[in-house]
Amino acid sequence: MTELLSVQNLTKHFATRHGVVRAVEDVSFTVASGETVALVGESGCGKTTVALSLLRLIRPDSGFVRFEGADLEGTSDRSALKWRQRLSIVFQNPYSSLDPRMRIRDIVGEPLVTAYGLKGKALTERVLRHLTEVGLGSEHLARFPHEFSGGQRQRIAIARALALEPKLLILDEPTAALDVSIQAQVLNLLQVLQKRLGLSYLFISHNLATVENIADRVLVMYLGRMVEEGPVEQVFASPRHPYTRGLLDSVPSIDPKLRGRLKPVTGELPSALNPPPGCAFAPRCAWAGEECRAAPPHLMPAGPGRAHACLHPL
Amino acid sequence: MGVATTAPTGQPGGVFVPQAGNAVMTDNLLEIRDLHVEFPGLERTVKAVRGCTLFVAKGEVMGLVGESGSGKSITALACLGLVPPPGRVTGSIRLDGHEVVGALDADNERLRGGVAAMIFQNPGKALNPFFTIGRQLTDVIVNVRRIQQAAARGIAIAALTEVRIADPDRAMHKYPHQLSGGQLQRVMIAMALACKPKLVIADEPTTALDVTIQAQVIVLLRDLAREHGLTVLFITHDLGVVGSVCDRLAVMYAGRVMESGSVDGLLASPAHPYTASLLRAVPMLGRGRTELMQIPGTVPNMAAPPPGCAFHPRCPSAGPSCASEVPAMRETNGGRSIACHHPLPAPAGSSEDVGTLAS
Repeated sequence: MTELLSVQNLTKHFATRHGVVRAVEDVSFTVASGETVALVGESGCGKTTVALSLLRLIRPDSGFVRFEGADLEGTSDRSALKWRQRLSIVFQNPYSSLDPRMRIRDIVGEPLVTAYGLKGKALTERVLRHLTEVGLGSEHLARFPHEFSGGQRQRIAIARALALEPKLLILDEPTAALDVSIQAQVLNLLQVLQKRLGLSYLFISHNLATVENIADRVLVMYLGRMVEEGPVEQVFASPRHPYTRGLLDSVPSIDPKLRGRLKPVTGELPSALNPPPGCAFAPRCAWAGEECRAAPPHLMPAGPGRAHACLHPL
Repeated sequence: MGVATTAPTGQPGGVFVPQAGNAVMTDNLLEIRDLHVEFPGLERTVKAVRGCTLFVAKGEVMGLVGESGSGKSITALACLGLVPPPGRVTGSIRLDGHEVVGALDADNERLRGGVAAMIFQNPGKALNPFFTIGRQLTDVIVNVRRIQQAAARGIAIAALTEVRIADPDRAMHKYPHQLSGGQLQRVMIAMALACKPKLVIADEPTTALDVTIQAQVIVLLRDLAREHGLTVLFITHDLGVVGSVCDRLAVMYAGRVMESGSVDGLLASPAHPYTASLLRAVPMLGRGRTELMQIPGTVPNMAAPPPGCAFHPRCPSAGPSCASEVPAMRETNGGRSIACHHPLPAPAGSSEDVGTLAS
């Protein structure tokens, strides 16, 4: 597999009235072509900031983003437009990401008009092709978003994201807002589309079960930093970072025999305004020593494809 | 092995009376019988609950599972007489011997807090942003338990300690925006417990929380229920949460209970096709990259629910009778009941239910 996206030392701080929020700190990772990489972590850990930086919806403070070997450079809107033809995003909530006053034809067609200036029959045909891809049809063209269920809306959002035939799709919690019985439809659709179109996914989620189902590799973030990465089955079977262990132990199991296994991590996510000086997880970590509180550990390679940022790996 | 195959009798969705002599069933704190809740409108009437029958025994943690729009939250609100206008409630809800449906609001008021307390999904919205945590806690305690302000303060601090809020004295002086979501939910739990209720209704109490915080709240609720012998009606859409907290479970779909029984038995061998499909459609940790079973179609529109069994348009084992006849709720074995014309056979010999049946 060839490297499609490469992110190096991405950093984004937000200056607020109360101080500097270190939303993303020195994050590096790659996505190979045809691969699904999951980015997991709790709310406030910087997952979405990474996604928005990749799309240049916000500008990172430092770091490089390369796509197919080419740098993300230039500051003009025109270069951003070119960039967004190659990677696209599906947002979490299809109830707020679709304009209620636009018809489906215009929602899916808008990127085609903006990027290629398509119109008339060519536009309709192209829109229809993308709608068919996600299991919708011509009868839906003239409808408004409110006429669709949550699962169908998410399909429309996926069709819109695919309209410019991107190579990489960023999926920001694409099933979190959907009904339980509908989530499988969307997850299966994503896997079918990936095979058919050769897409790569950056799958952002806090739902570890979903990640296990769809992803090849997983990146675990905690308070703006990456703490562990590796192939999903390896990381989930034997996590090295105590935070990853804690996350896995926090997932309530459906199996009543494992009922007593729920072992929550103590404490809460520290404020990103005032992060602990050393390892951000140290205040909640049972293995933390003095050296953990001194300086944040760096992500160190550990075995093929795996890495963790911990001084006392499990 | 198999479930009873006798033809369902009685009115569709009619009153289902559990068999006498079942020790779990005889001592019910909450009895919901044939509950209907409708919201009439000019163009359409939304039938949110359509014949829900549910019993919660004293001291048990009962899970009520369903997707959004299945009527689980409205059922919970109806238990406290809190269905908002223009909702029309019919049927019967007996809470601690008191009939809620049709009672005067003043009478139901006495139930709220003292007999049954509710924990809502979003603690940030359930608390008033203008008042301190302490003020809101003591106000509720004074109102419900009719005691002095000073005594209420002591009870409030004790309750905050019990839900493991660090430094409860300081927390009393904080405003809701100064606490995190997990801490606010602990405050809500403290508020519910401080009134010494017999029943706690928890409506998706962990849905708005992060995974690690959700696990903390689940463990807290489980421990508190055990220590105080609380009866809990736990509403959620997450089957994993049910597996971790609940003793028994009722699965709701389109305003009706489809299946109920012990968590162990029901999750191990679901008899209703809806429960079975749901269990295979949800990704679960430890299953790897298995393909998820897709449930076709969408959740029904409750203004025009499908005739017969509401699940039949999406059901893999639906027959002709499913579209015309509403399956009645009937008891099978091991304290389980089901409303289905074509229930799935129990796996031979493997179910824990079989043991209870034989004894």
